[in-house]
Amino acid sequence: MLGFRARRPGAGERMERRVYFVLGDLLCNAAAGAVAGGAVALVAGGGWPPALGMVAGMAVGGVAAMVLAPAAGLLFGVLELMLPMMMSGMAAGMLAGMSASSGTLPAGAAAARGAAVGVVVLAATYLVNACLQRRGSKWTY
Amino acid sequence: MDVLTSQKWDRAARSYDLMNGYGQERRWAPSKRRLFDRMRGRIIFASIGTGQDIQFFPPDRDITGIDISAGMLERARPRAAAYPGRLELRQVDVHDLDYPDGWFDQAFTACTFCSVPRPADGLRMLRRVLKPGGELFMFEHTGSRYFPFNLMLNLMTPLSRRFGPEMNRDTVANVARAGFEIAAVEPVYLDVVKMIRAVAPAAPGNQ
Repeated sequence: MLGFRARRPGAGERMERRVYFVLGDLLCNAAAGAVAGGAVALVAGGGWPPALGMVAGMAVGGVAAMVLAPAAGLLFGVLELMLPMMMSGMAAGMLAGMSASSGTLPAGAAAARGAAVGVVVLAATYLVNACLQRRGSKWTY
Repeated sequence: MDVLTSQKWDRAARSYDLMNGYGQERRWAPSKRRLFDRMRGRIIFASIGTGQDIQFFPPDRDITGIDISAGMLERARPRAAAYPGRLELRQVDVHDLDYPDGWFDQAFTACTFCSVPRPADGLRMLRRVLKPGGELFMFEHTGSRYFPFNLMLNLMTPLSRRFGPEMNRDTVANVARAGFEIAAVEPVYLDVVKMIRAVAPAAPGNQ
């Protein structure tokens, strides 16, 4: 096919393995989740309907991550950070919004839970990335 | 010359190296080096921006780097001067290339067609200045086919296009639309950042 040979890379062959970037991704996503979770817990009230808390939490979390990601991107590359950080912020904000609207959720606990959500979202993104890399062709010529 | 686009990138030039110069370039360095290692013959590089990619060019190549923004090119000049090969910089709109048909052997782009206002037209122009059988190599970020990445990129685009690139373009389709034959698409990150290799068809008049 037009003078090039393509082969499929093995699992994880082109996963990000550089410690600097793996740690950076981890820290930034945990931070995005923590900031989003903590911020939403401070804003969302105990009397809110859970659906409103969820939607407002997603919005606040997404915006918080959009603000944080360009700054973190200076060190680690904005494109690879923006997508998982936005998802981390939205997921952490959504969970914090739902929890806060159905009871009292201390901001510290929401931040810790948000950080854990960020790590899970990052792991899921790495997994999806590995799957997409396996499907793609790698140039060998 | 598209004055509005030129002015937009003149403004962006002031902070471009700060925003993209360290983390992003370090992240992409291995892929870009591998892509640019394929440079052969007379090459057009669109758009060269502040010249951050020059560090990844193999030495002793014959490269014409174009950009629509004088501000970007001003920052690229010291990097071009340090390049150990022939590297000419020109302020040209990729829509209005004034080179003869079939002038270049290869065309390279890096994060270019996320920003060109009429991408298929710009790519058609690159095809015109490539020799029949000439190669187009691209390092581009595009939209995604997959949820929720496509949703995120669509949400970002109305904001990002005001001061920089669009995040949701289908650049592979634009390359095909411009009359190139797609030879390979290699994902770099998700299906968002990718390297594309395409070939200008040998048969002329395929407009």
